[in-house]
Amino acid sequence: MKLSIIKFLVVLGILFFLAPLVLTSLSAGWRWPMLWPAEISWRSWEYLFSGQSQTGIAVFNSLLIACGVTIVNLGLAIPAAYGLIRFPLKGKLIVQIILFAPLVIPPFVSLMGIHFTFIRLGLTESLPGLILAHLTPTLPYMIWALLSSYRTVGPEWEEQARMLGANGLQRMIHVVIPFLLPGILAGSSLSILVSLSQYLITFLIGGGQVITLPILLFPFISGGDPALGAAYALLFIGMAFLALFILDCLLKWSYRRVN
Amino acid sequence: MLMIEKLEKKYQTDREFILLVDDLQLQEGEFFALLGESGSGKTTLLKLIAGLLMPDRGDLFLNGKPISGLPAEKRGFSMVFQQPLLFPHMNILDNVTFGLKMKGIGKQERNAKGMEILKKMGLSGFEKRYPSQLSGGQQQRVALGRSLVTQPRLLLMDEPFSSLDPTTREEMRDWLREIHRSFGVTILFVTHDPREAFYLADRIGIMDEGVLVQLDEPRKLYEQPVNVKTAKLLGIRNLIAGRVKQGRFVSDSGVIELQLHGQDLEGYLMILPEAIRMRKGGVAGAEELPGTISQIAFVPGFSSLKVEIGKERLEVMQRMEDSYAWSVGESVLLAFNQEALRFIRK
Repeated sequence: MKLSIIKFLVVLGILFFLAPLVLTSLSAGWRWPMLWPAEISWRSWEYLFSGQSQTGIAVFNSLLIACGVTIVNLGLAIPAAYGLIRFPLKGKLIVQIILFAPLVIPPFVSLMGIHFTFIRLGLTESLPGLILAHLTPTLPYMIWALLSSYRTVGPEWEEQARMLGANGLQRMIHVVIPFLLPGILAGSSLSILVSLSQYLITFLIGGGQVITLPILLFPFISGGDPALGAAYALLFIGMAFLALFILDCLLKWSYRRVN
Repeated sequence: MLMIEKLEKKYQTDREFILLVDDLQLQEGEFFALLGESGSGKTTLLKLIAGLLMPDRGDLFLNGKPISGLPAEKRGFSMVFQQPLLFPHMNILDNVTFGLKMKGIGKQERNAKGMEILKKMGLSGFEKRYPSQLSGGQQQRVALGRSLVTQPRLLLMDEPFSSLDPTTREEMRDWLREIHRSFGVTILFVTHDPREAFYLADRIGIMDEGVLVQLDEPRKLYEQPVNVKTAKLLGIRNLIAGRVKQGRFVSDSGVIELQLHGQDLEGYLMILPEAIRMRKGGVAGAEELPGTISQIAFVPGFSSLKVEIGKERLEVMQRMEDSYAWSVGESVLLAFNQEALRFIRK
């Protein structure tokens, strides 16, 4: 009973914040002090789904970058977290601080340096360049999620696998990764969400040539066209929710397999 | 088959030890137990043999070939740990056949072998279940089956029954003897429980502070431990400090005096509790000591008694007899079987 009340309140809360967005996206000329939009119009949604809006390519780019970033993150974070957990290392704390630094240092600071370097390497205005640039804000979350997951795989599990004849790669695939699955999925969720919402990095490194959803969204909400901004914001929320939902299903599926 | 030569390894428990095993040879098919307290280095030695740890110095030979340089997974040994360590994301059959899969054996063949070994472990019908659905004893049986299915050259066991409840532990002990006999596998078994070692092993090695202090058949070990610490480790409690002088042993407290041949030395007299004969108090004969019963406990078939002789306290085992029951506070006379008296040098 108590739980259902809480659920009801949560749904109400979400609707409370979403309702104005929905209304705004459907409005034409909604000005203060009017309580309701004077006129309902599908104009913004029609534009959003029209060919000239670049919505399709933006969604595609956003998801492609987010997935690419997540895959590279996994490749970096699985060995990094393993090293931090398993091996005695002098200055482990310093390594950890460096790895987690992007969480506290304003992105602009490192972004300028990355921008200069990428111009020299010819990585700007390209998808690979953007994937690399998005690593900065996302990698710490991935390492964080994996570190806590690694704590569930004591070294004895690997010793047992070794004593059954499993070499390094076999141990990783058949023993360690299955234990890490919850952490991998949690880290991937964070990595995808953080990557999807990047504006500044995409804008600078992509030079406006690589269109993602936040790049399309930003000019509209910063004054251009609130109705279109609202429609894009809803699309963004939907995309993020979908990504989370898929990962959540995967997580539940992997838990069921373990328990 | 396995030979250890001057093996050396620094290891850390609460302080730093150096494990040093000069010479140890395992015979094909034998059941060898390593007995020692925690921190004595027995698990370190096991892991050195397994290849999970690398020695600082020294060599290991298997049938004459050096194996010190081989990683654990290439030695062809198996190991059963304290915990069953069944992979939770695999069902029982996949767990049991894991070692075969790592060797690249095809699914059909390995499943057939897996089913066969599960049958031998008394676990037919469990193949599709997951480890969490099994009891502790069943899990440890699966773990043993998983280790045996690859036909290891040597099976290492690190206190495999210590996390089980006492009844299951005893069942597993009997069952392991059976398995050892029917598979003919060489087993190196680490334990801190002397009863377990006595029950299972053909030979027992005693570890203390990183050194193999004594190595013998169980019975010989029990009858002549090399020092007091070893005697205590073997569960022998009647150890009386004193000295031998002119063919007689006199305890430090002065209350125990017995005929004992040997050199004039300081040390301990070891009296096995089953070598003491006890009768009701009266006039003491030659070589009989008067005492008072201070405690009686029932051990199936026996009475386990504590008898005080002055300041000393002896543990005495007496076969249960219907005709007479001992009582606390009763005066008794103790006589000792001379052959069962042993003197341990200080």
